[in-house]
Amino acid sequence: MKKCLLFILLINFFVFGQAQTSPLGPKYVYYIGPRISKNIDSLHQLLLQAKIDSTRINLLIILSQAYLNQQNYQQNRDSSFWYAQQAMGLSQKINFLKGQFGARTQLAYLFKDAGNYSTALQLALTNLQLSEQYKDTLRIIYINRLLCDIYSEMNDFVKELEYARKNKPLVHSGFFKKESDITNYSRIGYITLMAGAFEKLNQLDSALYYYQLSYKISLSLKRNESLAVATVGLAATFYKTGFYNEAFSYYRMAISYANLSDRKDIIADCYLGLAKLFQQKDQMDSSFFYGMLSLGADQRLKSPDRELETASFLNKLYAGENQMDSAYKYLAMADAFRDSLFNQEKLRQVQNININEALRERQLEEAKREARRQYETKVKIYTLVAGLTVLLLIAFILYLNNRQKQKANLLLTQQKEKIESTLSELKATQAQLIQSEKMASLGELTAGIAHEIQNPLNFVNNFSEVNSELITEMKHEIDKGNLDEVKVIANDIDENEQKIIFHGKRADAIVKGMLQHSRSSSGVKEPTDINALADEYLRLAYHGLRAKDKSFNATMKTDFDETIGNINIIPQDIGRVILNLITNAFYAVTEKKKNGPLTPEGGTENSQNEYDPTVIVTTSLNPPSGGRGAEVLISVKDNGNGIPQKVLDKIFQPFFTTKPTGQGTGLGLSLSYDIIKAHGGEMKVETKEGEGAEFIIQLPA
Amino acid sequence: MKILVVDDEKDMQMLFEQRFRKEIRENAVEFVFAFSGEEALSYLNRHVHEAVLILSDINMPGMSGLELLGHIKQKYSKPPPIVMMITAYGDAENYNTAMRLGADDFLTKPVDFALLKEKLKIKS
Repeated sequence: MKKCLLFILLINFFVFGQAQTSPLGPKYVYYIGPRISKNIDSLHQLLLQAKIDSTRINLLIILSQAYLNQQNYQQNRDSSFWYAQQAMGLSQKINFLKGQFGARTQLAYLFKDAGNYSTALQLALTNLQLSEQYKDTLRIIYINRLLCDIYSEMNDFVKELEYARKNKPLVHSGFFKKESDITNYSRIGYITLMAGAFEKLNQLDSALYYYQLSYKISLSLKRNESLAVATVGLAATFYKTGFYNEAFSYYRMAISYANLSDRKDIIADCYLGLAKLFQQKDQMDSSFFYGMLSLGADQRLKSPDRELETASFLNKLYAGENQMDSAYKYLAMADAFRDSLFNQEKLRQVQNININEALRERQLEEAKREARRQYETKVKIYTLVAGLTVLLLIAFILYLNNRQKQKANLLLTQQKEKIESTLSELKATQAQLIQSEKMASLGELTAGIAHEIQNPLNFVNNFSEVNSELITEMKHEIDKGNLDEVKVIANDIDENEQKIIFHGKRADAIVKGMLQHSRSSSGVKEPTDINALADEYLRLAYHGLRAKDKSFNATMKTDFDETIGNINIIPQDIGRVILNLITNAFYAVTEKKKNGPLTPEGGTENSQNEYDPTVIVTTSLNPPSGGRGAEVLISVKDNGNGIPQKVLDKIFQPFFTTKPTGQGTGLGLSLSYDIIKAHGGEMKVETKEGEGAEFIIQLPA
Repeated sequence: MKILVVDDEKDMQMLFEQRFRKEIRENAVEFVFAFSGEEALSYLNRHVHEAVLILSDINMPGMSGLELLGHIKQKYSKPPPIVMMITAYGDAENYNTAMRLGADDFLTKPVDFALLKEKLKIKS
């Protein structure tokens, strides 16, 4: 049984409208498409006036459909083809996707009708892919329907069922909001299609279920054409299941609905069905009657396969009744139809093979594309992963680098701190060292200090004790009245007392000198006129000595370099050094004058009358031009007896003195040496025995 | 008993004369003074065997007391005079050196004359 199709051609949203039905060509396909209210002439008029390409494309598609709606289907098919192809060409030219879609659907339909299923399938599948890509649910539903039609005509009912089933979830996906829409699209989307497919696959229970569902919906819609389709389906299914009475009544209903909706193909199907039904019921007259009716309808429909089927039926019917001439007539008729259909059938088979090939290729291509897509995705993922890995690696390297740096920094900081603390320690140690050097020069000679203190103490203690004894003695003598003896004792006591006072003062002087030696200098360096300082202390020393010793007299000479200017020194300290050196010089010349020059044997001569004790103080710059690194020289020169070679290396040691006991502490030169060292200078001595000595101080300018 | 006192401190003469004035008055002792090592040696050269006891300081300009001690103990061996060192240097090094060189006794300043007198009685 030929299936009836409800087909909605979706062209554009705006032309989506009510169904218009009309019998079409040999296939009697009904369209539910755009309402085409205008005839072909007016459409041509509109096309001539249309300026915009998209409008032209729409009109071209509508024209293509309009030619199909014409009664003379076969003649107009070429025109329909031509306009659809024009629409396609123009759409591709301006890259108008909707136009392309509509034209392609129209072409798919036309190719299917022409039996070119391969091209029809290709076009339909392209549109399916396109609508799936844009997630256009409505278009997917219609394209699935188109595919069902194509597969049905190819007698591939399994595929037909497959595409019909695909629409079921789409219809109920929530895309349609109105209940009436859901009902309507259920019927046309999958119910009727599935019922037909099940029937042809002889799954009659399922077919019955879906036809009844379709019938129910059609009743509620009160649409004759739908009812005709549903009832003829039910009749055929009941016939196949052996429910002849039900089949009979549904055929009657189908005929009346088909008449109302002008579905001549359904009427023809009903006639043949009834003919077969009456044959089964052994009502041969009725069977012949309906068989003839069927054949007439088939001939009007110009459908060779229907005619072949009906002719074959009649042939068997007459053969069964032994009316051999009639049987032969229909056999010949069937043969003629079979011959005319043979090529068509062959072609269809070959095409099916081609289609399968094409589909396989298409699937292969699809698979390839999928594989490529997967490959590209993989490549993308790998690239991403690789990129990420590289980034991670870089981050890790940076992190390591950073850590390394931090470590290095930490190490540096630690080292810096260590160095700093070491430096401060070193500075402290240096300061301590300077102090302890001073103390060491004392400490080394603690025994010497003891000696210097113990000697005067020895006298103080013992003379005190002696005096104490003498006073006791004196008291005895007083008691005796021996006044002469008392006087002698008193004189002794007095003498002893003088010694006590002298040695007490000596001890005091030693202690003071020691304190001065060990004391840290609190003086501050300041720019000082070294010439003025030297002159001042020279006079101080001279007058100091004159005050002590009225007989003292010496020649003083000065030779100052006036270009020196101020130098940075602690004036009190340097003053003390100059004083010390000058005092020593005066002492030396006085000694020489007193004792005479030294003889080579170590003794002294008393034979120099023309000796003139002279002390010369000189200042100078070295080099004389001054400048960076220059030094100031201060010289104190006497013409005394000089310093013996054997004591020369001892003169700067503390407590070393050549002066008679009690006259010098032996700390003067030692202190002077320390002071000059503290100023970053040097102290040197040049001497020649018997001719004098010269002490030279070098100070940074 | 003749005692030679060697010390560069000239007041030592006066101190000894005061301290031993009774003994001097009684002619129990006779003091001779030298103010340096050299002086002491020249005296000893001139007055052989006169001094039976020598009291010497250590720290003196020129020849030190220890040098003097060495000379005396080497040159005047028969009989060697008794040498007592009297010094402000009470340290171990000086003491040991003096003992090594043959010093008979070692006293420190300030001099304890009561102790010295006791020792002199024993020595004599």
